[in-house]
Amino acid sequence: MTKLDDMRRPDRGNMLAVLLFITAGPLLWGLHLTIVYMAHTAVCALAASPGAATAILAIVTVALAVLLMLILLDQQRFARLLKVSQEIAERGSYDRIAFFLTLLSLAGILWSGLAVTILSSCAPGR
Amino acid sequence: MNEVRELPNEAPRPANELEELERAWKLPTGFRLITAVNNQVIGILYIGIAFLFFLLAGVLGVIMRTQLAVPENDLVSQDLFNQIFTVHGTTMMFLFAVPAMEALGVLLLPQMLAARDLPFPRLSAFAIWAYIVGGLVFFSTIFYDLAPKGGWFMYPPLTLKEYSPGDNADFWLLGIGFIEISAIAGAIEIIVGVLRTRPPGMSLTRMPIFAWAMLIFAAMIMIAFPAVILATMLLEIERSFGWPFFTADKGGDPLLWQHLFWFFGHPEVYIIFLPAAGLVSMIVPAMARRPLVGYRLIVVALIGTGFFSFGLWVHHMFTTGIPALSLGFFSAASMAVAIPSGIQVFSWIATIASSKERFRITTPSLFVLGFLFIFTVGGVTGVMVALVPLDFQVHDTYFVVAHFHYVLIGGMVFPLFATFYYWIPMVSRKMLSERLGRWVFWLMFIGFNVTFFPMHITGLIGMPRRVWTYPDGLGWNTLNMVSTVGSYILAAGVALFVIDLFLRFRPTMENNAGDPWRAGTLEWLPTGAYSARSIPFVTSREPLWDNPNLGTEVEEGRHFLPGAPTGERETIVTSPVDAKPQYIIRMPGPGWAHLVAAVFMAAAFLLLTVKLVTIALICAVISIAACIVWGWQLDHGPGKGEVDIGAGIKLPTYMAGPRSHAWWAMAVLILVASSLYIAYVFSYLYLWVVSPEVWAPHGSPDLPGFGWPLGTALLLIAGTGSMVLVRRMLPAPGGREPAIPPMLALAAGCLLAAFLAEVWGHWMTGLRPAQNSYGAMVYMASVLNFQVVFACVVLAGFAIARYLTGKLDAERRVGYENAALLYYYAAGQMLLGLVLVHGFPRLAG
Ligand code: HEM
Ligand SMILES: [Cu+2]
Repeated sequence: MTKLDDMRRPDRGNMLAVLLFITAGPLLWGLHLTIVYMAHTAVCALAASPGAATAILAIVTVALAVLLMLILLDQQRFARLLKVSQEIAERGSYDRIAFFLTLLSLAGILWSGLAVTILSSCAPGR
Repeated sequence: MNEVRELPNEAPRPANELEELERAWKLPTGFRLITAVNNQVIGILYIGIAFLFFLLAGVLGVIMRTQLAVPENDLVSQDLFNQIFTVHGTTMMFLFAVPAMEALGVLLLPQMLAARDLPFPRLSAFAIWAYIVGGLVFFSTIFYDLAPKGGWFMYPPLTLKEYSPGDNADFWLLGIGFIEISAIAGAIEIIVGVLRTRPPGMSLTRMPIFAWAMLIFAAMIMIAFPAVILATMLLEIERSFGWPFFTADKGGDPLLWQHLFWFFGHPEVYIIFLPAAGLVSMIVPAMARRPLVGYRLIVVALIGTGFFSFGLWVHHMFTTGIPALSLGFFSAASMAVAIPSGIQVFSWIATIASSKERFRITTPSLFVLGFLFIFTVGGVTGVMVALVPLDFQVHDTYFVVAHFHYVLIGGMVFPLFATFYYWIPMVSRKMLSERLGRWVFWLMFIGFNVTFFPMHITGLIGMPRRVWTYPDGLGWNTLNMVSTVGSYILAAGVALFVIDLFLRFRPTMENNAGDPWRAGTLEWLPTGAYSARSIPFVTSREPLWDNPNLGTEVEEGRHFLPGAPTGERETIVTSPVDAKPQYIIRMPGPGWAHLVAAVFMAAAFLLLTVKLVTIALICAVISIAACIVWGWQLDHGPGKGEVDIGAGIKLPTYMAGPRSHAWWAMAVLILVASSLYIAYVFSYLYLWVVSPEVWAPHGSPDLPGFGWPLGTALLLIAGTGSMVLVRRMLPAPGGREPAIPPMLALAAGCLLAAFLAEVWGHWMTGLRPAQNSYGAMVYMASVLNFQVVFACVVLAGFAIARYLTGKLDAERRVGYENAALLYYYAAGQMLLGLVLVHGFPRLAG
């Protein structure tokens, strides 16, 4: 029962690092949304070719999906990269929360990215 | 078996300790009760007013149903009907649903975290009073034929001056814009509260799910609300001064409103739902008498929903003629958001299924089960309308009305009633009647489904929403009559609940009914006005289940901070991840300043609505003066030294810099300001995409020469430098450094000059804001800059005054730090604005 002693030591957890670690997946999902939405609106509005729009979107989707998979494959290295301490309480819980959030985001990116490949980009939706 | 647990403090405690605690937290009496800031008191006031708005808007709902009971009815006129559905929707969303959840945050969070109060008690009280005054005035417009008529989402062009003359729409724009400011104040409170006032040992992963839900709720408010605040600013400015943001023939676009509104509006429904889900995640384990199945997955689901909900807004705009790819993309995203909600539903069902003994059927659990059923139906119709072809068919019909009432009433009102039954014993001498509760539930459940289920069908057979009446012979009569009867049954259930409230709800802080459910979380500790007697050392998620003696230990003062060592209100501030004690925050008690600030700020907004500009400005000045008085009292200084909270831990009673709560609040505020600015940048680019032809240099006067932005940038850099230098020059306590006031004034002056230079430069080119959407956007950047510049000037003046009165030095420097932090942000925002406004047209032109 020395947990009480532990309260005297400073917190090893860095709030921002922990936050980034668990929300990296959703943040990249947000990036995907932003790029897809802005790029295709801009490319279509500026009357460039729909082919260009589709290509940009497909590349972004694949690139981000690969990035997320890499994070999933070596989560610990990613955590070290962000300097998430091993010494915070219940570190394993953060790992799992981060893992499933990344997985969810990967699914989200692939699923909505799919729309890119099966729809012609700039056709008006009416 | 009974091992001796090491506890932070020894019992028995010194005799006067409890008295001191009681004295510090005593409520003001008599009429001064309105100056109270204790979270239990203002929390109950807050939730009570929110519930009042539910009743008022509910009556409007029933009036609408009465009007629609039979065809060609003329109980209410067409114009009044338009006002009624607008006020009904607006009140339910802005004055009931969001405030109710914030209220629960104020009321329940400190109890669940065993904190003595939230970190900024007067800020909560300010937000509440502002909301009460603003909300009541807004609602009362329905009685004077002054209510807005544009529907709860107020689409232009209908809401532009040409088509909505009079002040009606302005009541929506200024009233609701103002209420949102109050919601943001609450969100700041909640974020800092959850992250910094947890009990020692309650790491993030040991927080009750409700705390997670509120954290995400508040974060979402910070990102979503600024979008609609910007939208209301743009529309109000267009209505008042004719800056054409939304007028198509001057390069504006009504769809910009829809984008901004729904970028807020869709997350809004999750802003309402997530806390409700958090409440359910607290009630279900208590009724099942076992920990929640899949705690971590629920956290994943909450965070996932929080993010995903920002990627769906376009599904409200499927029928506006956007590119097919947007349709597909947002349709897919809309379906995907069902996954995290599904995770939660399965977790709850799994918890219920694996309960110890049997899942207890009480009134709260009935409401939870009702919620599960109704919300799931609403989720299914949600996935249906996410399918573009179906949405084309049912858009703006009663099918949508059915869908969102299933989601909103199922997802929020039912959990709220479960909450009332479940937590009232915590704040009342008596619990509510379980016997009447069954009646309330069944009346509401049956009434709800009878009202809203038929609307799916009326919608599918073509009845549009927002019609004040309909002709006979379309086959809509029976279904409408059934809906109306259902709404009366629903209303009867709510009325019965209100009666029960009158009979049994007796608010108290000391003699509550205790814990009838034998739940595991800290809000069920024995409490007084000061919350728990001592702040427990937490080692698990359900501390009361894992240590049945915890209540006694806490009551005996054997945990942390058993007294009031500074003699005033205080609580422990812990680190954000692992909740290690860091310092003691000294909190303000009852006072008038925040109250005056709230009332006069509300008055200022409302008087602006009716164009009484001079009196409005006077009220604004009074309000700002009150804020300054309020702020003046906050920085107590390090005078009280260190205090012992137990376990040999000595904590400082003063903190400045990145660890302090003041710094955190300012950082959160800056995030809000940057969301607002990002929404602006989006709007600028959006209007350019729509109407590049009005942009400089072709459609508008040439930009001012490069010297203008360059000079402005230099001013900003000089001011920032001066601000940085002041930090180095702050004297040791007791010392003097005469250069500080002029340096602070210089910094403020540079900012002001930069702002003026930017406006002047554009003015000289002959560009006018009312000319076209480009001009409007260019000057809008300065409107946004003005807000932060003004705040920085006030804060700099405040810091100067602190220095001159000997209250600002190298140690006691919160007054300086807040000013500096905001200053750096302001300079950054203005520099970014220069790049956008001066750089982009040169690049794109
Ligand atoms: C008390 C039971 C309620 C009844 C009988 C009711 C009834 C109605 C009816 C009939 C309409 C459709 C008006 C029309 O399109 O012509 C409506 C609209 C609406 N309701 Fe309710 N409602 C109730 C509760 C709620 C709640 C709890 C919420 C939200 C938390 C809510 C939010 C809305 C919104 C946002 C609209 C859309 C208003 C608009 O079209 O601008 N309602 N309600
Ligand atoms: Cu939506």
